[in-house]
Amino acid sequence: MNLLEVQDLRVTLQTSRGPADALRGISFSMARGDTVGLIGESGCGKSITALALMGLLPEGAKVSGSIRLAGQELTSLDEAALCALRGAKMGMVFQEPMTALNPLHTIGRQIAESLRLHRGVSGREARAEALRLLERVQLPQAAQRLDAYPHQLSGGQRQRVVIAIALACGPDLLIADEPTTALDVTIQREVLDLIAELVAEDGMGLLLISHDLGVMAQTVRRMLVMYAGTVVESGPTAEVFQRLAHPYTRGLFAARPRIGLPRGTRLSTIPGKVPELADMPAGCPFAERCSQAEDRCRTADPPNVAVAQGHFARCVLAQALPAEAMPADALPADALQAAVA
Amino acid sequence: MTEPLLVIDRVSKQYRLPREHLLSPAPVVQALDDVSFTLHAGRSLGIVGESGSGKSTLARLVMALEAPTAGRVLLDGQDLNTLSAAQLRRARSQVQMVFQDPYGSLDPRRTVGQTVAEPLAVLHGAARSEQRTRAGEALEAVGLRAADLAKYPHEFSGGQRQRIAIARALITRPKLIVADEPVSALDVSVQAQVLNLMQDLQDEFGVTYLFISHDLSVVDLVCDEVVVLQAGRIVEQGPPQRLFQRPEHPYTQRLLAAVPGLVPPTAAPAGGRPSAPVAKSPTWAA
Repeated sequence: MNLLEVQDLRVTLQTSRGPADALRGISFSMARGDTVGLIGESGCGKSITALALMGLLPEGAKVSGSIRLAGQELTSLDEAALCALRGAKMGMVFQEPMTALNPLHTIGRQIAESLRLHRGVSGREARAEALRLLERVQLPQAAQRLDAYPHQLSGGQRQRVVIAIALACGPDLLIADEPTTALDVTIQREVLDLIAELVAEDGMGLLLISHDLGVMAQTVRRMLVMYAGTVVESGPTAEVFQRLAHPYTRGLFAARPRIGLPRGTRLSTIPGKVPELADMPAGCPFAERCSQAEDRCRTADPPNVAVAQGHFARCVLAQALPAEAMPADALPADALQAAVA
Repeated sequence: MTEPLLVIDRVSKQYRLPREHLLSPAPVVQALDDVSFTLHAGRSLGIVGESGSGKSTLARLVMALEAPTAGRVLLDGQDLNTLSAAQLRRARSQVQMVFQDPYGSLDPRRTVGQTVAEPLAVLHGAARSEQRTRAGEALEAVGLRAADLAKYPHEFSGGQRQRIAIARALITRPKLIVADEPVSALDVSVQAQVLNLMQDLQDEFGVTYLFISHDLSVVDLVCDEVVVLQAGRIVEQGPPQRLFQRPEHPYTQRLLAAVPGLVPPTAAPAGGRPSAPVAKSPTWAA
């Protein structure tokens, strides 16, 4: 059984301009030990996906489709049942280590909180476990730091504490939403390496959300490129990087400055802007900005084409791999997406 | 060689921290320590370094928002800290700043027109009609429309807001623009648009940039010269081609090594890579 199965997940948010479809049918699955990345720009729905998984969507949000964690359907659970899962089965690391921690409580107490809540251990045991966790996330002088307050730690150290809290109850799934965006590059590298190491040791699943292609390249094995609430390309990271099957993925790559470009080089940009969620055009959401768009792109939703084994692109121009070249037994869970589309 | 536009001459800046004990002297943090460089008109100088390296302190000194503890900041040959209030006001019209967060740097209750024209009103006391014309021109220079003057910041996306912030900086026709992480809050595709715009404006108006960033690839793209700061000291300085191809100082090498490359691990699971060494925090002196 897969650790996580998301099928045709749709989320509609209530906004001042009326209902907005923030997620428009995304599907993916991951096994224990899988590392999957969600990449895309502001408003593409990557954080909404994380919030939907955690059951933390804003008030008034409508959810349809299915989210199954280790076989259990999450979309129909009530708040009490979700509370029992959050922190225990699913841990989350947020972007801002400055605001994710409570400034009034010691870090030892904040780590112990979820242990006492979910495992019902005594204060003494929870404290001992908190120390073990701080050592595991390699916080220097962990024993002295148990009684420290968040303001006494640096940004990187705080993010280690947030990771320790997420890991406290040994979750099956770790969701990290832009965990290193607020950190310096050298610290970013350390925190990503730490997350990768912990995930490999515990064999949990990692869902990493980032807007940074470089972060994806060094941390996850599979990635989903999101645009306007849909997954436009998905596949093994190396494969996606090599083939760039969707025009949006190509645009993202080309827009990124790289060391070694001559001074004064103009970067290639993606013209136009992301369509408003409240009035999404018919057909492919990227058609308005795509240099290769054809008439058919603006009328019907593009098919999800299998461009290689386990690698899909939602584009009419994507070159499908001939069916006979695809080993039938190796059709991975991503094939579900094709079925849904 | 002509006289440089900006000279930072052996500048140090100390901040006094709150006293920890009643009788001991207050601890002092050395935010900048004996920093010197020059910047010629029409060129771009990048300042890179991590949090706490003194990048933003440097920006505050160049804007004359603070005075250095030692050393001089010369703009067009004038020492900013010896000027009278009126002279400083005139000198300030030559320097403008673009901040990191386009959501925090624009007043949500004022129209774009009011925001963009404000430096003109404050510095030159220009007439309303002139302010309006110039604000419209500035907006057009950054790729927005003069009709946008009547709108409010919330009607714009992050990239457009950063264009508005740049228009506000351009309106006094400054010689120097201090840009403190101008693109780090923006999405990749929008970042590319703003970087292209900043380079176009430099070609068109001959603006000089002091460009502060933690992103080495951005600095490599837009700067002629790079200064690497670590804990308030310059550890390495030079043209980006040399600095980023053949970094000499271990700190520069470490910064470069930490930039995530675009080569994904092919087969092996991620992780298990030896961590980069812990970066040094600022030095604390009693």
